[in-house]
Amino acid sequence: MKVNGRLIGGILAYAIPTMILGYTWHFNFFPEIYARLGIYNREPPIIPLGFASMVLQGIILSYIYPKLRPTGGVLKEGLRFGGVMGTFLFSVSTLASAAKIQVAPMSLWIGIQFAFHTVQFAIVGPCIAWVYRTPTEGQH
Amino acid sequence: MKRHILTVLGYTFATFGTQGPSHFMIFSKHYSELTIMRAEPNFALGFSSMVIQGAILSFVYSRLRRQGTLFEAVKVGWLFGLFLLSYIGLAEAGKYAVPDIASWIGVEFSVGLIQFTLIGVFMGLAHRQVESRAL
Repeated sequence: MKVNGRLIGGILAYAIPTMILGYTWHFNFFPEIYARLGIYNREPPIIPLGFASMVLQGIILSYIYPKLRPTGGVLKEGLRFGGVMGTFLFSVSTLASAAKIQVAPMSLWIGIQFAFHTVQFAIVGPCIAWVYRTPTEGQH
Repeated sequence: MKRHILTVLGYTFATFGTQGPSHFMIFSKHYSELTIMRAEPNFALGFSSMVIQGAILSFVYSRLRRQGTLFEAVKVGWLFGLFLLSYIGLAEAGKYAVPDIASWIGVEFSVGLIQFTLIGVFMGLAHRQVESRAL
């Protein structure tokens, strides 16, 4: 893997919005909902582990995106990429987790997580696509 | 379409084949120490999760610039495995009260390595077989 400015830009384009959204979503906007669901039982959560996870995910997303040879505009390609990879992450963070860990009510868990990942990848997808935009796109 | 169906089947087989023995036999004590685990896992949710992951992996692999070697498919499997394991191994350890974080990370990543190596092999074979027939 060649480390270049765009790869690092892509990592930041994923990690920074995810960190900000993740923190505000869980601790400012919906703490009561997550407390009611009772799924996260570590007090306090270990933030550096979450951050390391985000950086690793950012590296992988930033590595994969240009290999898909995106040809459309930043917004279209970013939302498409975000939709695919967001669904992939949702399947493990929400469905697989609920399959093995006690959480109730299930509809609330799936709903709040679906909303979170939708917002997250609607932001980070176009951000990564913008980092990898072609020079022609930048002139428009 | 056939290559995607075969990949999903391979993904499901490899996941059940590695995570099943890991959770219920080899590391059952390790998982039982996590107090919020379900006594009986919800198979419908777990299965739907595997189908989604397998379908997306196959779809993305088919669109990557590639040469079609088996090792290349394994590398893509590792890449997606690392993406999932970053959540399961690291983020979950940060949110759930796992008794021993190092042990949690070690178990998840070592079982995941076997799981996604198998997934990569199955995916490579599924895509290579269907593509070679199409030529």
